[in-house]
Amino acid sequence: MKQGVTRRDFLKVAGAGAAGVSLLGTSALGSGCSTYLPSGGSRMNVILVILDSLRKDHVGAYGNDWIQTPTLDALSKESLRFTRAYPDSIPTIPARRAIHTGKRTWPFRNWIPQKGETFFPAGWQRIPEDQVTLSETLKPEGYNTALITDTQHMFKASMNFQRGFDIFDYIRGQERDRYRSPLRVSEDQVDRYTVSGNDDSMRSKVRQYLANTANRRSEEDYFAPKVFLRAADYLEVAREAQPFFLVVDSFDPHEPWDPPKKYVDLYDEGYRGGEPVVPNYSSDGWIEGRQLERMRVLYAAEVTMVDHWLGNFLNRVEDLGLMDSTLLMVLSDHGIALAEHTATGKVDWGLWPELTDVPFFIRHPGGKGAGETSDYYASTHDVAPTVLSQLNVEPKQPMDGQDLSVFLDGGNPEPRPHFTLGYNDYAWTRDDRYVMFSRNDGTEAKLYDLENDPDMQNDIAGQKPGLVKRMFEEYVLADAGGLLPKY
Amino acid sequence: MFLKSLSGLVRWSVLLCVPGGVLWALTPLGISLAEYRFSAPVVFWKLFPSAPLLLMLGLIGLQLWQTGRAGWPGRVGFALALLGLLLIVAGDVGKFWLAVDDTYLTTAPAYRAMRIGFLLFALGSIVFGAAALRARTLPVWGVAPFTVLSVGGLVSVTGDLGTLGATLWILFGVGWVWLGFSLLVEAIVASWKTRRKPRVS
Repeated sequence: MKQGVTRRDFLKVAGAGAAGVSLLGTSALGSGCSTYLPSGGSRMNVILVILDSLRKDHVGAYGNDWIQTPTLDALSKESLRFTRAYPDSIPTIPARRAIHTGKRTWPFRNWIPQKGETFFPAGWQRIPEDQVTLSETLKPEGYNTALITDTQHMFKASMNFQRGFDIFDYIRGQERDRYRSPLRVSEDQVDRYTVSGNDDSMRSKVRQYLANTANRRSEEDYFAPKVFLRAADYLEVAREAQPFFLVVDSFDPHEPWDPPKKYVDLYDEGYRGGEPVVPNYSSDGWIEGRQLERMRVLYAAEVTMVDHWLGNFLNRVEDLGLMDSTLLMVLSDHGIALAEHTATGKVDWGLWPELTDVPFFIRHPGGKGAGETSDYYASTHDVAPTVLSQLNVEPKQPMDGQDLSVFLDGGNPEPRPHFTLGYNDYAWTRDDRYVMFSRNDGTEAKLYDLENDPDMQNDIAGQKPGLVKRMFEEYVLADAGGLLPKY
Repeated sequence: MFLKSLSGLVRWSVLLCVPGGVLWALTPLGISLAEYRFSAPVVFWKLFPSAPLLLMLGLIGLQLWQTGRAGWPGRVGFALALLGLLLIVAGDVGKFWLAVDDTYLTTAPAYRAMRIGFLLFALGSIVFGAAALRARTLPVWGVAPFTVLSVGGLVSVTGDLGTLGATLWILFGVGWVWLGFSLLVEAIVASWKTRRKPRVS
């Protein structure tokens, strides 16, 4: 005769049933819903200021003693300052891709030249669709996101840097932006802003620029003032909608260097002749003497103008009471050569400090790291992981950069005994002692001993071929994960 | 008499582990629904304290059920888990009802309280389960899976682990359901045994 349910039977059935239901429910829920923790953490605002083409050695905080940069100098006292910061890659667009994604762009594998572009260094392309930007990560976290910039390359139709921004305020007219017809600009006008050695490409740049800026009336119509004033306007709104992530991307002090006279007069008087407002991207044989001196002055004056308007903007941040709740990062994407070695402009073969070294400041609202310096090889692709770390926001995908904010708490990130970067068909690397750069295939190498030759004036590649080979193989190729692409 | 009844009631609050665990396990689904229906997961998080509150009562019931027989490890586990649950509730109320973090943007005290609460709750659950397992104060077939699933719970609250984390989070809730369920079964079986005992005349 069949007995009733025993204790053992009951436990078996109950256990199996419960386990089955649990597993089914778990797999169903787990596969469909991946969010389970509340978002939040530090809700501090973030302001990221990018200053295009600002050379490290043109900032007082980095030792310059003749160019006025009071804002950056003051910021340095309140910030953690990186003394050996470099872009992941050069020039403008690859450097910004690294900033916005936290991913390395060098060695420019799978580069897709963008149709409609006029400039084709390797890596110059839109942000790949499978990469997530910083703004795209912060927006779902409740951040109001804004990009204010006059960096015209970012808002060409072939680019997509607006991704993730609630507001993208594009200020038209910089450099070669095809904003106004250059047909009305006469040769005489172009002559006034060029010198006889400027090539056709630079004369064309000036012609477009003059067309774009024909309606200027006051200093506030210049580009850096426009960018920082518009950013200050945004602050009025953002204050009521915190937290916010604001990117202020100033193309100045990129050429053309035509700041108002009062800035130029700080450094030079009595110059006559065409103004060398743009450098050829070439070897430096086209300019010398007084013209070269003037070009350097114009760049310095442009730097001071940018610094002044950055200061105006930061004062507004302070006035609105936002400094105590805002993480501020200021950095540049690359420098510019002014014939310190044998190049002017940005040439891929001229990877000397005037082009590779950038200023980099992190100001924490709680004063962490204030006035301190780090010689870590900080870079553009470190920006995104640093911001996310400070906000306790998990990246949507792995990033290549390091979280630099560990320095703010007295820690150390993953060591970087050396660093590598690239510009088009050239690769650059350094460690504590040497800098080496060469073509992507290792030819045309230059080597400098930083200990005995900090200004990098004496190329010793011919004397130390073994070291060149080792740096190329163990640093460049190792970091690139194999042979470099050839375009 | 009243105190005895009250004690019995609190002891039976152990069963609240079941609805508490169910609500906990439904978190990923709840967030998703709130996002889909209201375009704001905040709606879910405002309701979320019901889960830790139920678990809190269940935990107290569990401790009374053991009547301290699990020794000091049991008491430590209980204290950690209870503190964790309190922090979760306090953090949730502070963040989603009182908007404390909107005032303290950089410190985000409510959010941090919640996250610390999650960690303590999961850690306390592990210690509590291990102590009960060692002392055999709760049914082994209930507390053993609970302890293992609590380890998964601890992993899930260390960071946002996506689908894996959500799965571990759900299983953590299931662990609590399972523990409460095991006690219910034990009680029913014990009741049957009592009824079947021949009466002594």
